[in-house]
Amino acid sequence: MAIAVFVTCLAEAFAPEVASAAAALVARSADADVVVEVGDGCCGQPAWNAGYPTEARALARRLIPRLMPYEVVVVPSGSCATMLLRYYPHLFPPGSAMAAQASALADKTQELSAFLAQRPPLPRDTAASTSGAAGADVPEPRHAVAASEPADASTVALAFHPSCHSLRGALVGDAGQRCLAAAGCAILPHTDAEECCGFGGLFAVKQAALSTAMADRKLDALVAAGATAVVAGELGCLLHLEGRARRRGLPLQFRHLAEVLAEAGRSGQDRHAPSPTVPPPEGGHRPDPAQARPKAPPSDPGRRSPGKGA
Amino acid sequence: MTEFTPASPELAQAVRGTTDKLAGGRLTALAGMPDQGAARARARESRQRAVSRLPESLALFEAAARRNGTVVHRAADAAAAVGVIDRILSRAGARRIVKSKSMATEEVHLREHLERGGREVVETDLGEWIVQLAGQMPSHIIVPAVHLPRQRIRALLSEVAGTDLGAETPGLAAFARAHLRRKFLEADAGISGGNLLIAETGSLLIVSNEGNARMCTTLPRLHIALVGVEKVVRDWGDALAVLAVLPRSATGQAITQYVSFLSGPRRPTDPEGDGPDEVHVVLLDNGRSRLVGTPAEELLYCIRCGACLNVCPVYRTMGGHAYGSVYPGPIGAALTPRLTQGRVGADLPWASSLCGACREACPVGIQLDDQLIALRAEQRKAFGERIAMATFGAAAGRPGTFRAGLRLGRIALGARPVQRLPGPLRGWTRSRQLRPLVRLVRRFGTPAPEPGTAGAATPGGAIRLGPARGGQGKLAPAGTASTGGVQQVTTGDVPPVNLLAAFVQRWRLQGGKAVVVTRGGLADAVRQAVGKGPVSADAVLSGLIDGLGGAAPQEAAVGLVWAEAACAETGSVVLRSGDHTQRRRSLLPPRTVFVVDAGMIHPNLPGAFHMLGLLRGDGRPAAVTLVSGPSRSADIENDLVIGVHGPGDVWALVVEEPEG
Repeated sequence: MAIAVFVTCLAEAFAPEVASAAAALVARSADADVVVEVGDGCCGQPAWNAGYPTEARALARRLIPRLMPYEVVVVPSGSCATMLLRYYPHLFPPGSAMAAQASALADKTQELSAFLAQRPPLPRDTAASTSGAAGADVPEPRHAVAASEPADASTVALAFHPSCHSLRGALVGDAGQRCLAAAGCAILPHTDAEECCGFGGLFAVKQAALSTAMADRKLDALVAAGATAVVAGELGCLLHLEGRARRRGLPLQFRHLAEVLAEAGRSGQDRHAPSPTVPPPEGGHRPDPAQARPKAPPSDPGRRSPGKGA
Repeated sequence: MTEFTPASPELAQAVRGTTDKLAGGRLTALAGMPDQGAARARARESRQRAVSRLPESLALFEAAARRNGTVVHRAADAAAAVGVIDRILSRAGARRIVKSKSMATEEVHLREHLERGGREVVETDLGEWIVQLAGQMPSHIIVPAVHLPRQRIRALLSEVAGTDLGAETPGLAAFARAHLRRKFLEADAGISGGNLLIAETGSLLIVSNEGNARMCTTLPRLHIALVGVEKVVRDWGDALAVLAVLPRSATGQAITQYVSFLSGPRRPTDPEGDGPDEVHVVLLDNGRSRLVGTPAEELLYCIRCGACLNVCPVYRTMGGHAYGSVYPGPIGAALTPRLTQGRVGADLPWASSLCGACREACPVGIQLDDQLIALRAEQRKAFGERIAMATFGAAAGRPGTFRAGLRLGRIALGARPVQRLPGPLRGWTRSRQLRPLVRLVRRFGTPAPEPGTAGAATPGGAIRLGPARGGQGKLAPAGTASTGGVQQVTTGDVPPVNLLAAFVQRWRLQGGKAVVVTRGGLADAVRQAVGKGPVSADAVLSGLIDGLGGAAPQEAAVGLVWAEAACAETGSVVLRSGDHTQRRRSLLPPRTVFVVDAGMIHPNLPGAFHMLGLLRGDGRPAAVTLVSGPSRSADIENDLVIGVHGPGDVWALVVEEPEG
């Protein structure tokens, strides 16, 4: 079986390690002959949501043939998965060849956590190797024995943000939480976990004040719950929450579900607790200068709710 | 682009508290249904059936309404609606008007217009009255005064009373009851909206918890209802299908305390004063019929339950008034620009993060987020944004270009977290930083596997409209699940074996008192329940129990009423207007005692209506009323208070024949 892992444009731009981790997870949990990371710009979701169907259609027309040769397409993002599942089949005139292809693609597309939750990890010798031009960056597939190795909850307090499009677009239910539990990660509950964090694509830019207030509500809930690390299957939410948390000087870490699961699998093998607080090799997880500032700038439109600013 | 702003922390907290409670109640109420998916699909079907053939549905309604003595008017827009109502009132010489809550009247600003004409118009829904006194607009479809804190309400009502009423809800509500009761009894006309129009019989369905809608439609001799044309359903079975989800989605109740099915003026056989002599229904179009047959048609299926508001993170963040529209929340964001063709609320489609919570909550399956996306697509875009999006589309569509763009971005923005973004993206960095773009742009993707080994997809595979494999979320038109006729609408989980127990349990849960008596013990039980005060009694019961029931309804302390049927699932008694069952008897006295025959308890409303011959055919009484407990309101800080306008003390004496 040939499986594609779709590398979303946000992953390509900000966190390629997410795609690599997803590919590694897919490889060790599925009966795949080959797992390919297909990175190809954008699926068109931001354009579609912002009211640019023509641009979205053009992007879909390019992406569909690239993904069609695979038997399964795994998407490490709830919103991109929603685009493929929910909207692609309706982008083209009913009855057209493109509509048929889009529909066929939707039939074999799965959001990452939904895909993983259905498949217990395979023993190492039957798991496939990954391939791809950047194979050197791909973590080597391993046994996933972490299920029997509960994480050491004292090192990190994980909270899970079930992103809106995973829940209500790709309809994954609690697949993300189940994956984390199976990997031995305890999840801290937080208030109104299923309420939107305020990202919403272009909404975050065009309605920055609302978007920020929603982020603050989410961050306050996470802090109140005692979380030190936030996991989500959606890079958009993570970039938004991380960007806001850094401005507020909140000591929260933000990790994609794929990375945490991949690390949990590896450290389970090595009989170590997962360490989601370890910074990735590159990117915004490093302590940044803004964090040292006493408080957010006074022009900050999002400063509404109490208990922030440090 | 309007930039919407979050509410003050106090307001946001009040809104969150109330909407949390309503949303939680909704989930519990729906979970109590045996198959909420089927019930919601059935409700959508009922709406769709009538709305998709709107001209035909309205013609049927109009003809049937005329047959039962209702005068029907059509109003193309707000001005026409206000004009026709003004003329009806003038002809009748009506100056004092009581009004029940109605979104359509808000939409045309009816009250303000009538007041300008020198009339006294009093809102009688507690929350709506408070908002009227504050000189504001409602900020929630169901809870109009959600934004007003208790102390403000205390000040407003105390000013009317001329004395400090204190801050406790019961005291405030008791004053409202006494004050508004006088208004009801003095009024020349009652104005209401309508939750549904039933085409087959020309009837109007109105739900209410306080009883004020019943007052407005029963006591004054003139009743005018202003209803949006889209509220039409085909028949009583379809109306019940909608009723199965409306209160559950709105307030988390299995049913509202009162449901009225009104079919025209008082009949010649009805007692004098028991129902209006003149009934007008004004059908308001105001941009609605234009949507029929378009992809926006489903917006007309809305039953104004407010469920989408309660779950909307944006509504909860900015409150209702920020929408600047009569209809707030996701439905307002989608409906307002459609009804006004963009003259009002053109930017409202951006008051949403497209999280989909509204779509998930909507009891009639309106794809609200998709409707907002469609509106965004129709918007005129700013030039800069259009260029930016086209550039992004072109770049993201070509891998080489995309990667080059990422390199360029990295060079422009640097290796540190970005604190200031340029141009249209600057909104992001006003309150957030951004992770730097990746240092080493990688090239993902190897050539596709060899054909044959990869299981290439069959070209031209069939388009499936149902949910995709694994329950994943392909878009499927909601409400396509097929259900049968009315008899299959079993919305209750009540086992047929113990309808009596189920009814009693439900009734008590909704705040009523219940006593099970034998035929022989009935007279004693009635005497005990009615106590000492003057009693207004049903002819049937007066004949049965000597020495009871001479008082007029407006003077009685107790109304004693024979209920012809009851429903176990919703804990309701069913009343038909007529010679012996005065409508006022179960409305005006502070206590009502219903006598119910255990053998007439039905599992669900369709069953009860079927038994009474109300589901099919012509010849409805002027009013069929469901009573499901005492009058209640949660309009003051979501604090439940009993006995607002209707009776606060409600009994059911269930007569059970011993077996054998």
